[in-house]
Amino acid sequence: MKTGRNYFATYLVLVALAVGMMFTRGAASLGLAAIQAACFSLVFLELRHGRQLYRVIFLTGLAFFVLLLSICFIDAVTRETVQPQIPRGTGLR
Amino acid sequence: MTDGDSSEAARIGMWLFLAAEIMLFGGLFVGFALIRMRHEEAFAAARLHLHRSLGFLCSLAMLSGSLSIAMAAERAKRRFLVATLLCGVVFLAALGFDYASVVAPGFRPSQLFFGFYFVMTGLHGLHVLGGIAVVAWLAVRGYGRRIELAGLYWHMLTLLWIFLFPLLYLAA
Amino acid sequence: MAARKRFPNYLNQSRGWRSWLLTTDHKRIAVMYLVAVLTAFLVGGIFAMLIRIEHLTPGQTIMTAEQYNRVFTMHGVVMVFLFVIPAIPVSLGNFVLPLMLGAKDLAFPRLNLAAFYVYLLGALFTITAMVTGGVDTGWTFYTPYSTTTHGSVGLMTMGLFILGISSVITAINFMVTIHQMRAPGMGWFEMPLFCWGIYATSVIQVLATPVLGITLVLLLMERVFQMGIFDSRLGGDPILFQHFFWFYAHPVVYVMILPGMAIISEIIPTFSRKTIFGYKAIAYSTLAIAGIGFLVWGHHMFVAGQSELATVIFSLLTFLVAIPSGVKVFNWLATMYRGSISFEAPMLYAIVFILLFGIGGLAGLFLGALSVDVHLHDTYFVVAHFHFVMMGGTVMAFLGGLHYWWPKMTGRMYSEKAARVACALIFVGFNMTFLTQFVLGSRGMPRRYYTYLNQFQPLHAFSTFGSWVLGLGLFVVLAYLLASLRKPMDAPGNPWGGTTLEWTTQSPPLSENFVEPPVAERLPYDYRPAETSA
Repeated sequence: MKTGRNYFATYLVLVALAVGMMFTRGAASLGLAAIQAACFSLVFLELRHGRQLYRVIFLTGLAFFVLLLSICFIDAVTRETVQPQIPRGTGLR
Repeated sequence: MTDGDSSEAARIGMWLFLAAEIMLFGGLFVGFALIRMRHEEAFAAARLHLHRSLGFLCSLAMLSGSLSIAMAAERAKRRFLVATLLCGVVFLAALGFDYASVVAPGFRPSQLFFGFYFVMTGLHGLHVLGGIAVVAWLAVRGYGRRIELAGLYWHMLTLLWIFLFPLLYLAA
Repeated sequence: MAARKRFPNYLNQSRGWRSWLLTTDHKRIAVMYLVAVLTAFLVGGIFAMLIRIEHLTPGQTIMTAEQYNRVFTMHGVVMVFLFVIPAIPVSLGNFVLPLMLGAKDLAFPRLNLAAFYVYLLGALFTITAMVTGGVDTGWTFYTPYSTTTHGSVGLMTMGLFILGISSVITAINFMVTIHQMRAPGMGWFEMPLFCWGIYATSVIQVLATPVLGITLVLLLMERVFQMGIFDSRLGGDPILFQHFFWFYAHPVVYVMILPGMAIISEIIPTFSRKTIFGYKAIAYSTLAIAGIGFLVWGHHMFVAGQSELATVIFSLLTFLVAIPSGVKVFNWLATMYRGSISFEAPMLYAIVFILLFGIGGLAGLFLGALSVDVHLHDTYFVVAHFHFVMMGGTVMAFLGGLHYWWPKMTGRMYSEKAARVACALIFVGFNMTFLTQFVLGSRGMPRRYYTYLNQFQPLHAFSTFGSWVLGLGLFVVLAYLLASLRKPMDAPGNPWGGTTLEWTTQSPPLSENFVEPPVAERLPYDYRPAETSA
């Protein structure tokens, strides 16, 4: 059963993870974000205790996002690209 | 149709809307990931111009807003809605400060990393603005089960920010 | 002389322009949408006629090259976004879905009206773009041309974004209605197949349309701020645009065809007086088409510069998507086999659909084969292919459904004789126009080209003559449908002997649809004699 305490406890965990994120970079920070997202979805979006249909809708959305990402990624990685110039305005000249 | 049915219908409708929003922002995430792959150094250099602390404040604001709106649905006390509003305003203010600090030295959307930065946070920020408007309206006009729907919407925005923050401010 | 029947129905139960413009009755909204999409069809059709007249001769016939680029772009944009994508769901779907489910209205009636006005707003932006300089990029807006060309690309992308919002709202409305508002006794596998088609269409729209939305936003950013995401000079990737665009635009062609197939699944059993063959196979095939349809978008990009590995993956998956379509075609034919078939207009259009969609679908397999596509890509072969499936498919199904549900919607029967003449004209005109284009394409005629080699002229001219026959047939349909509205409202409640719930009400229905909320007592398409049905 959902209670205010559950939300607050999860909230503290999420904030702790966010603080931890500040000290990481790259894949590690994204990994922490994934853990945050999982905790958040299970509790705040009520995916753990809610109706099966909501899980299906949410996971389908995620799945199609992953589909778009993966095939575009496969294409980009297996293509022969010419090394582009450093884009302007980033301070690196 | 009983009232229970119609609120169930509204819930399913909101969930479907959330799935659509995941796909909307998903395109931005994919574009960012693929372009970043080609310009890792340039992106890493550009990222240094953002303020991590402001980004962290944004994260805090979204998470707190999610907490307060969840409490509002639980406890039906108006003060939680006001708290959510404040969180939203803090989020937009922090974002605004970061925008100002980026634009001042001359960075514009016309530069690849910042183009993504402004589109992704801008689109997210517009959605937060919409969320603030809805919560304000509910706070003024009274609410019932509808706060749960607004909560779902807000939670989705928090979920997006959970990934936007490391992607834009931290990664690499 | 019989007095004109004046019984209450959704058309006369409330009066005045406000009762229409502010209505939340799905049937009135459907009628308004019908007028809108038919207007779009007319506008797109006029552009088509202009294209065909221009192609009567090589070189300039009636317009310059720049004008030609704008005309074929407008034809594509109007037909795709203002007509084919919305037409069946927002007009026939809106009208029939709640009736078929035994519901009073959709799940969110006010949202339904809102979606209509959002559609009109999007149409307004699009038309404004047309008249303020036009767009010459083709309906696919490929970068870098679309990011650098002059013209009203910005206005048009905003219009399409708004239209996309309307699509998603309607799709959500349909999905929730099907989940929550089926009559008691009507499980998922007891609802008519039309509802399955609408459901699968809506799933695609919810998941795919937002990707178009974000693509258009990025296109706008590129144009206004030169952001660089699609510009290789600035470090971006033009092929990324094509990935994003086709991730939406391929599934959207299944948005176009699934409602058409859904209508065919209704018409065939009714006019064969026989239970549909393989209900579950058709239902699952519908979902399969929707799902696999998301996996094949790269087949539009075989020669665009994507990697060879991606190309091979997409080609393989493209062959897969033909399978569920084939399952449906065979199930329809099996339904007709040993049925008691009658050839009223809806059935004529259904049979035409099966033939023309079959041809178009097979042509798609040619295009899915990599080595063949290298020669056929961007030729008239492709143009013929998609006109066979979109017009020979969706438009024929739309016409069939329009005739099928016309008595239900208007309370009048159209002239069956005129309908058969029109159908013949349309069939002949269509094939004259587009079968020729398969030949043109395989002989090398490129698409979107203003001029062409003299050797192609006879075929082009023949295709143009065909377009006039086709146009004539369509105008005949318009004429007798409008003429039927002047007759008295004396159509029976169930003129075709249909078995689905919409046929249990009067024609036209009451505003509230049913006097008492119906209970689904028998399965749809149950044509067994009464004493043996469950």
